[in-house]
Amino acid sequence: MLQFGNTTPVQPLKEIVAYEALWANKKTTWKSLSDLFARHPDSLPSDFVSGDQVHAIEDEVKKFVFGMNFRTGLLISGTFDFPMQLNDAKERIVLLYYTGILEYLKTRCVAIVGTRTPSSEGLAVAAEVATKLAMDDFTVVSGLASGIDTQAHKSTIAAGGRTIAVLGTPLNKVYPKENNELQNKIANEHLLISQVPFYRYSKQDYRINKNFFLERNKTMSALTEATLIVEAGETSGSLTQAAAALFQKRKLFIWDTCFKNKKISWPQNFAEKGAIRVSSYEELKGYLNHA
Amino acid sequence: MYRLQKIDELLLPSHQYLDPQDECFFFMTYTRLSLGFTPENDLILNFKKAMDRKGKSEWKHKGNAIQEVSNLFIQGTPAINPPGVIFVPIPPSRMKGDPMYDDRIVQVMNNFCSARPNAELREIIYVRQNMPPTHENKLSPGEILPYLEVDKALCVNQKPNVVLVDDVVTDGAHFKACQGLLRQRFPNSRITGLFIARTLH
Repeated sequence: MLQFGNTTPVQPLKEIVAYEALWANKKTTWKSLSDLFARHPDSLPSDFVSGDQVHAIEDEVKKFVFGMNFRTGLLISGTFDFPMQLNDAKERIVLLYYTGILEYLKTRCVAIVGTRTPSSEGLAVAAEVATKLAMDDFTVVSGLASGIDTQAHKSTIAAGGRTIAVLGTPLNKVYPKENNELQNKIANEHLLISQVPFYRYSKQDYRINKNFFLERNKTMSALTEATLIVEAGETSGSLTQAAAALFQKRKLFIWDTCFKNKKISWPQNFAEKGAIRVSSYEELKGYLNHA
Repeated sequence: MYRLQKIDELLLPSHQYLDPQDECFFFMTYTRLSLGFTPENDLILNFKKAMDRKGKSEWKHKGNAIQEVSNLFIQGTPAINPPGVIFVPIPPSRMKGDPMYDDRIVQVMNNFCSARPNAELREIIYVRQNMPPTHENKLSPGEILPYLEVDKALCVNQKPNVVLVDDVVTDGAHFKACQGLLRQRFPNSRITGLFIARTLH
C-alpha cells in the first residue's frame, strides 16, 4: 500500500466484506455499529473483523456485489465522497452502497414520502409536487415503496428531473416486485442507494428484514434538506422519517389534507414540534428558498 | 482529513487500461462529470478550468481550486519518511509554451512538496508535441507514448517510491503510458498513481 503516515487508504471491496462480516453477527444492530464507530471514529470496518470472519462470507458477498447488472459503488465514512449530511443522523452510518450518478448528492434534494395505499388525491399531490420540484431543479428523493413513493419517482422522471431512491432492501432486491423496472431505470439513469447489508438480509426472515425499512427512512431524511409527507396512517414508516427530520434539523412539510383526517393525530403532534403545514407547491417552495 | 481510496477489484472494471497489479489512489469519485449539473463551485470543474478563461471573473475559482486541492493533498497525506518519495506529474496534453498549457498539477505539487519534508517534485515526463483533444479521440496508452518524452537528467538519485500524479483517472491510458516510461528508467522503484478523482463515463 501507498502508506502516508498513519492513514491507510480504503480498499473498497475489503471494507464491504468487513461491513458484511460485522452484520453477519446476529447481535449487530444499527445502534451497536453506531456506538462502535463513535468509540473509534477513525476506524474502518476491517479494523474489527478477523480473517476467519472475512473468509467465512467473502465468496458469498462477492457474488452479491458482482452479481447485479449494474456496478456496486461504495460510500464510506472518512472519505471525501461520503455525504457529510449523514453526520446529522442520530445513529452514525458508516457505509452506503450505491449505483448511478453520485453527483446527485451534491444537488438540492427534497424527499417525498407517504403511504403505500394512497387516495387518488394523495397520488395527485405527489405527482404535482414531484413534477414542480423537478422543474425547479430539485432532486426528488423517495423510498421506491408502492403508492406515494412510486408516484414521486415516476413523476420526477416523466418531468425530466433527477431522482434518488433510498432502498430498504439491499441493492440486489426489489420491493415491491412490480417496481423492478423502475428500480433498474433509477439504477441506470439516476441514483440508487442502500445501507442494507446483502448477506445478513439474505439470511433473515422477511419479517425481521422489515426493520431495515425504518432505518432507510432516517437515512433518506439525513440525505435531504426537507421531507414532505403527502399522506400517511398512524403506523406509517413516513412517521419515522418525520421524527428523524426534526431531530436532524431538516424541514418537515406535512400536506394540508393530513390535518383534515380526524382518524389520525400525528400531523398535529409533529406540527407542534416544528413541522410546517403546506397546502400548495408554491408555499412549500417559499419555505425551501427562505428561512 | 480525508482518507484516500484505492482502485481495487471493485472499481477496476470502470478503468479499462488499469491492471489488478496497478496501485492507484484517489480522493473523490465523479460518476457523470460531463453532465454538468454539479454546482458552479465544484472543485474539479474549477480546477480543470481551461486556460482561455484567464482574465474572466470566473478565473479566481481556478486559483481557489488549486489551493483547495493542494490542501487536500497536504492534509490527506500526513508524513513521508526518508528516503522520501518522488512525485512525477502526468503531463497535460499540451506542450509547455502552448497558450492552453496548464500547469495546475505542477502548482499543486509545488505547494505539496514545500509543505511535506521528503516529498520531491520532478517533472520527468513532458509532452514533445500537442496531443489531440481527448473529446475528439480517446487515445490508448500505446497511442499516447509517441507524444511523451523523458528528461533523463531527472532520473538520477532514484528512490524506492515514485508516484505519478494527475487530476483525474478515467480509463487509465495516460497513467499506463507514463508508468511504462518510468519502469524503464526506474526498474527498482515501486510506481503508483495518485489522483484527485476517478471519473466514470
